[in-house]
This record gives sequence, structure tokens and C-alpha cells, in this order.
Amino acid sequence: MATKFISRSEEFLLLAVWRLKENAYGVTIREQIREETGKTWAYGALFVMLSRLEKKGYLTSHFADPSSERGGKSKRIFKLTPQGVNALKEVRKAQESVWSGIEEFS
Amino acid sequence: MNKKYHRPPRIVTWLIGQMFPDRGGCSVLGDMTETYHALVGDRGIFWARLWFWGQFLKALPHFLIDESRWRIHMLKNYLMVAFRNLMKNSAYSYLNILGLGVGMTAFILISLYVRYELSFDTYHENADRIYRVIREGRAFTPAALGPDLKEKILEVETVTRMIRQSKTLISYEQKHFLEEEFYWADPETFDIFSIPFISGDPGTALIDPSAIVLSRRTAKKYFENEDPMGKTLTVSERYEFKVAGVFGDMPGNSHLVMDAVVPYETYFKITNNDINGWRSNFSYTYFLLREGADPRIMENKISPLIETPLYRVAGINEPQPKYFFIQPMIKIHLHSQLMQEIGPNNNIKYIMLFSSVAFLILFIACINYMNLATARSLRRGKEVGMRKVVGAKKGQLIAQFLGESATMAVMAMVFSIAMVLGVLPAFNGLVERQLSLNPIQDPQFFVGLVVIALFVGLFAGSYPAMRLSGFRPVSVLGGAFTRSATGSSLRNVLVLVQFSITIFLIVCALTVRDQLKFIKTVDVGYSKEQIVTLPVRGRSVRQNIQSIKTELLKCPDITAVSTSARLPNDIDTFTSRNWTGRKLEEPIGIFYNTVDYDFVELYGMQIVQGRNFSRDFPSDEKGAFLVNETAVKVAEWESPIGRKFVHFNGQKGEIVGVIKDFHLRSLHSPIDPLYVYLNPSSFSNISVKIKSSNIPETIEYMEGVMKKFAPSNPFSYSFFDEVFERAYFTEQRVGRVFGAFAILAIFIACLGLFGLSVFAAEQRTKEIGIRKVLGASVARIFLLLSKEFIKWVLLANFIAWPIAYFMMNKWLENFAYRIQLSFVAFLISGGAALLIAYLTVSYHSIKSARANPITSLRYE
Repeated sequence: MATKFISRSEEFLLLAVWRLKENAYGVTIREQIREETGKTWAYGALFVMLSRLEKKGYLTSHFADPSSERGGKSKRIFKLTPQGVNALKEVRKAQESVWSGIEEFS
Repeated sequence: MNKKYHRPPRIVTWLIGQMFPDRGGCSVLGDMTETYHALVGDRGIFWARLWFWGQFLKALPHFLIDESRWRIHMLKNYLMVAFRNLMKNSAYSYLNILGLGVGMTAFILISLYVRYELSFDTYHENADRIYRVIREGRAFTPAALGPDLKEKILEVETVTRMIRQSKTLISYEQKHFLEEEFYWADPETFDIFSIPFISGDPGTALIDPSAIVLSRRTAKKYFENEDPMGKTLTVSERYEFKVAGVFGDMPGNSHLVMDAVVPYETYFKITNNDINGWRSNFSYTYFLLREGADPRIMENKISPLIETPLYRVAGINEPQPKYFFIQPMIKIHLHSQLMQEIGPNNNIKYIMLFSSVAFLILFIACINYMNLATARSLRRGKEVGMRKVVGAKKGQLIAQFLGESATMAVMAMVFSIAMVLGVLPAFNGLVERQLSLNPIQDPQFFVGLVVIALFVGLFAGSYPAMRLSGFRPVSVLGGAFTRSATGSSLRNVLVLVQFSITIFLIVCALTVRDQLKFIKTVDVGYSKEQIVTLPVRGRSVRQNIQSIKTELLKCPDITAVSTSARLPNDIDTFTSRNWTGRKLEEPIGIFYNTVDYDFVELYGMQIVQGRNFSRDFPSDEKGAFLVNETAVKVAEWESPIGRKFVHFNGQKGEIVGVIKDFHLRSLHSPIDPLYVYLNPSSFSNISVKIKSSNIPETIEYMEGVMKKFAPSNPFSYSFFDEVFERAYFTEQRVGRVFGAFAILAIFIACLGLFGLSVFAAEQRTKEIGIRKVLGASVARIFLLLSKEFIKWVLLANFIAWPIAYFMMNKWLENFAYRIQLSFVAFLISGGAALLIAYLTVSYHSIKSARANPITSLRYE
């Protein structure tokens, strides 16, 4: 397929969403990424990226239970779409093929 | 979690909500708030707040970039749609751009002119501290005033006095010219005014009593490429002056332009006048006010200080409250309308009038745009509907349409700049100025133009944008949307305003024209036709005047020759004296003229009492006077004939007759008392009455005679009727400008009306079709289509007339002799507007009225 691969940060995001299952929203996604990569993203960056992925069709979102600790704002829960899963698979496949046979870096 | 609820910084919340409405709502703010609260628990409020701010700042670039990406996408679309629209409706676009462009052209031209007029004299370094001393209604002051001011009034830094001696004969070798701007002036002149010297020292140039300082162009005229410094010029064929300096030409926007300057004191030595005299007034006095001094306080100090010498001379017994006044130099050009001004000044009233005309025309052009754009809006209803359906917000649509109109306005501006460059020479002729439009010299003006273009775009586009963006998609796309009543009523009001302004301008133009015609044709008390006047200076003319007269009269086409100090239309010489035989004692001001035996007859003046000067009465030679009827009235003489009278210089004589009143100055002022003194050897004009045939030959003959007897007197002549009209230069300019701009206003209004009529007819194609099928005649349909507009044009008359009546009455009050406002002018302008409107509308109305109903109805 000739489509563009998703970027590394997009990959991180999609994986984080996938891992978090039903509880993937801003705060948890950011936390997840920090745990995995050690990097703390700004919410602004995170959000722009998430909405771009959504526009591309890799993610869907819905709003759920507003709470007082969120200042009365509801959570925006993200979910992976089949395209999102596909995109991840493709990246994985490509990655494995380019890395195959190279032992020194493992 | 903390018991107490801690709100995250409100400003940030608000900012995000305002700047990025899409994001503010839930997700980001919610997420940020959640983490914020966690942080409050972990690390305290301070850190949490800091973090929150940090997050906001970090988010900014991300949001902005993301946002503008979509903006640019939309902008591309808007531009494309705007361009397509422009191409698709090219006729409409041309109409629109043309209308706006013509309006802007008028606006730019007038602003150039107004700006130039406002810039008068501002180039002097100390412009705001330079003042001129004047008397009530008169610009001349006594020679002794200047030194007294400097000596006795602390606020005065420097004073200069100057005498203007126009048409002064200057000779260098074989070159002779009459210098119009010849001044006798104090050396301080160059300290007060900023006149850059090219050679010589401004501080000392005029110290030498026989020094002359020239402007660059004057020096060039006499010396061409030679070095002028130290060369000797002869003034009035008698006095020699050495060139001691050359200064750069003074710019045209000066009320005072000097071309040749000689020392003030020399004038008094040559003429044997008293430089410390209070008696005669022929000097201008300018002074530089000390920095920070209050001009009002200073002004009040003048009159009391010099009371004594002045009143002694003038014979005034009781002190007058104020005798001298001061005026800031920068205000002279637009605010000073005195007698004895250096040159004709403009009037701030006219500047304001022109400015308002400029704005009115621009306004008309904007209205045009609004009209056409709203009329067009129906066509674009579907686009608006579609945009709304796919999610465009009102704000976006407004921005789109405003952007479109701004683009149009900028295009119109480009067009109008080209047009201004094209018509500027003609306009310069109209206002008699040398205006130029130069972007490099004048970047500010161009910035101003761009601002105006954008403003016009936004203003003209505001109403259409509001209306278009307010369409409801359901009604637009549902197909029921064809003709909206509300839209057309506003359009009609706009037509009303437009035509009111147009009619107003036509009335003004017509009235000004009528008054000017009145001035031209009114019986001023002397004849103006077939008289050639020659300004003469220098001794040779005076010595040979008898031979010149005899020689001139030999020509069969010359019927009379006369000499006089002043021409009868502009007698500005004035004196004040005690007259004998008056009941009251105090002196009275009176104008005077010095003439020869033939003057009264040549100018066709009438003697109502007594007799004219005559060679048959040898006593006349020793001194004789004529007075006008007004003088007799003012003096309350029962019989003036035979009374002793004294000329201003002390020569005595008898009053031999009374002249019928004639207008000795412009029709702005009433007829004042006048006496005419007989002195054939004192004159500065020769008047020649000629026959109407062979005029060029006659002029040639005159030149020959003058060259023979006064070779050093450069020959120049004017026709007296032209000289006469020249006095109404300002009014003529007003008339011309009003005429031109009334035509422009009509043109723009017609463009708009034409566009509207096209759309009105288009809208009603089907209605017309049905009406025709049902039997309506072409005439009926034509009437139906034009009725709407004509109604408003008619109504516009009733708005325009009272305003025009009021304004023009005010204007006519400037004249002591004036026309009554004629009802005809009003009718004509109303009729003209109506006719033009009718013609404009009829083109398309007839076209649609005659259309075959089949074409309009066949789709039903």
C-alpha cells in the first residue's frame, strides 16, 4: 500500500489509546505516554494530535460523565477505529521488516 | 482530594474559551483542570497555577498552527469563489469597481487639493511662532510700528517690515522684466522665515543699503549661467543694487513668495519718506513670538503702547479699545480676508465645503456598492445556503463577504490612482495649483489611501455582508426565496440619499454659476469691454507719456487712451482724513485714485453733478477732484461742487464734479466713499480703448509704440474684462469644482441606478412575462418598472432643496451684491436628476418590457 505511514508520535498515541481501552481520555493518555516513554506532553500538543488522528479516521471519540474535578467538563473518550488498528499493524510490519536481521541494537 | 475547591486560573480558562471555541468546551480544558487538581493536591496551588499557565503557553503555538491551517484552506476557497463571481458577473463587477473608483478618484483629488491648501506656510521652521500685525480689516501697518514692537514688547523676539512693490522694473544689460514679487524688507526677514540661501549670508545680505537678494529662478532669468553674486541690477531705471545673495525658490504653498528683496530702509531714503512715521500704512509687519509666550497677552499689549503717537497722527481723541491685531502666519492663507493682502487668499469655508463634497461623493459611491451588492445577494443566496448547511458560521460568512468587498475596494483604489494620475493635469488647471501624486516622496499619503480603500471596502461591504450572512438556509434553498421586501426598502432609502446629495450638488453648481454670471453682467458703473490695460513702470514711460498717448491715438483702431494709478475695478488705496464742511468732526476713511483727463470718459463713467476734468479749465491742472455719490452722502455735504479738498499727500484742489457710484472693489464689498484726483503724470496703468476689429494688429501696434518710447519697459497687456473676472478667481474655482463634482456625482448615482434597474427587471422577469400574456402594454410595464425609482428621486428633491437653499443663501451673503436664489435653479436640478434617472432606468426597463414573454415563461 502506498499510503503514508503514521508518525512515531502518532504511533505512541494510538497504542496508548488501545492499551487504555475504555478509559482513554486526555489525562490518562498523557499519563500513559509518560510512563512508556518518559516524556511529558503538553495538553495543547496532545489535543491537536488527537484531533488530527480523529480527522484522519484512526480514532473516534465521545463525551462522557462530567465531573466536578474537571470543572464540570465532560471527558472526551477516544477509541481506536479499524483503520487505526490497520495503521498500527502496517507500521509494525514495516518496522519488523526493516529491523529484521539486525542484532546489534537489541 | 482537597475539601476546598480550587478553580484553575480564570483568565486562562476564559482565554482558551475565547480564542479556540472549538477546543475550550470540554476536552482540553477538562483534562487540564483534572490534572490541575491533582497537582494542587501533590505540590500546592502555586505550582499548579504555574503549571496551568505553562500548559496554556505551550498549547498556543499548537492551536494557532492547527487553526490557521484550516483558515488558509477556507481563504483559498473564498478567494476562488470571489474571483469566479467577479468573472461570471463581469458587467456587474465593472460597474461596481467603476463606481467606487470614480468616487475614490474624486476623493483623492480633493484631498490632494485640501492637503495642499492646509500646508500653506507650514514649512517654515518656526511657522507656529510667526505672526503678522494687522489693523481692523487691513493688512498694512505703519513703518514705525516694527521697531516699537521689538523695543517695548518682551514677547517679541524679532521683527521685520516689508513693502511689496509689484510690477517693479528690473534691468540687467539688455534684459528688462517687471518683477511681480519685489519686496523692500528688513534684514531680519531671513531670521524669521526659513529661506535657505544658495550663496551669500542670510544674516548680513541686506545690511548693505544697496544690496539685492534674488530667488534662484529670478537670478537665472537675468544672469543665466553667470555667477550672479556682485553683479549690478538697475531697479526702476534709476537705482542700482548689487546682488548679495541668492536663495532657493520659495515653494508655491506660501502666502508670501519673494523673488527679489532689497533693504527696507533704502526705500525711505529713495522716496524721502519718514521711516519713523505713523501716518501712512504700506508695510507688512511680521514678528517672531518668543517661545512659550502667550499671543493673546502679547496682542493686548500693542495698542496701548503705541497709543500716543498713533492717535496724535490719526487725530483720534478718545482711545479706541484696540487698534492693532495679530494673526498667526499659518492661518493667513485660509483665514485672512483683509484688504491689502499680499495675494488672493483662499477661504477655509471653501476648504470645508470641498472636503464635505469629497466625503459625500465617496459616500455615494459606497451606497452604490451596497445597493448593487445587496441586489446581487439574491443570486448568491444559494451559495450562502450551501455554506451554512455544511457548517459555515455567520462570522465566517461575514468575513468572506467583507473580504470580497475589501478586494473590490482595493482594485477600485488601484484603478482610481491610475485615473488620478491621468486627470491630475486637468484638475490642476481647474484649481490652478500644481498638485502631484508621488508615492516615493509621500509614503504617508499612500498609506492613507490604502486605509481609505480598506475602510471603504468594510463600510460598503458591511450591509451586504450582514444581509447575506443572515439568510436562512431553509428559505434560500427551498426555492421560495426570490424577492425580499425588506431589502428593497433599504435600497430605496439609499437611492434617496444618493439623489438628494446629487441634487444638492447640482443646485450649488447652478447657483454659483448664476452668481458669477451676475457678476459678469451686472452694471458695475463702468464699461469693461474692448479695453486693454498696460501695466507700466519706470521713468521713461512717465517722461514720454504725452508722446505715447499721441502716437497710440494715431492708430485708427484705438479710440481713447488714459492713464491712472488704479484700474476702476480694484481701487485699494485708502486714506483717512478730516473733510472740510462736514457736520461731524472725526476723520473718515476714503478710497482714492489718481487719473488723467480721459479716464472718466474712457471707462464710460457718468458725472451726475458738476463736470468732468477738462483741459478747458486751466485751473484743473493745479489740482481738481471728483468724488462719488457715496462720499457726498457720507460727508453730508449739501453741495460738494467747489469745495476745497486735500489729496493724501497734501496737494490741494477743488471738487469739480460728482461721479455716479460704481463698484470700486469686488462685489463682495459695498460701494465706499471715493475721490479721484487729477494728475496725468502719476500713474501705473495705461488703459486703451480699442475697436473690436483687428485686435491682434492693434496690440502689435501698441507694442511698437511702447518699445519706441520706453524700450526698457517690458511690454505686457491684459484685457480689462479678464482682469475684472480675475478678481472672482476663488468663486470661479468653486463654481468649476462644484460643476465637475456634481457631474461625477450624477455619474456615480446613475451607475448605481442602472445596476439596480437591471436587477429589478431580472427579478421580475416572470411577473413581466405573465403581465404581458395577460395583455399589459410595453408602456405600462415600463412605467411599472421605472415607477419605483422615480418615486424616490422625486422625493430626494424635497430633501435636497431646503439644505441647498440654506447653504447657498449663506454663501451668497459673502457678496454685498448678489442674486436672489432662483426657484428655476432648483427646478432645473430636480428635473435634470429626474431626467437622468429616467434615462438610466429606461434602458433596461424598456428592454425587459419588450422581451418576448415566451422566453421568460417557457420553463414553467
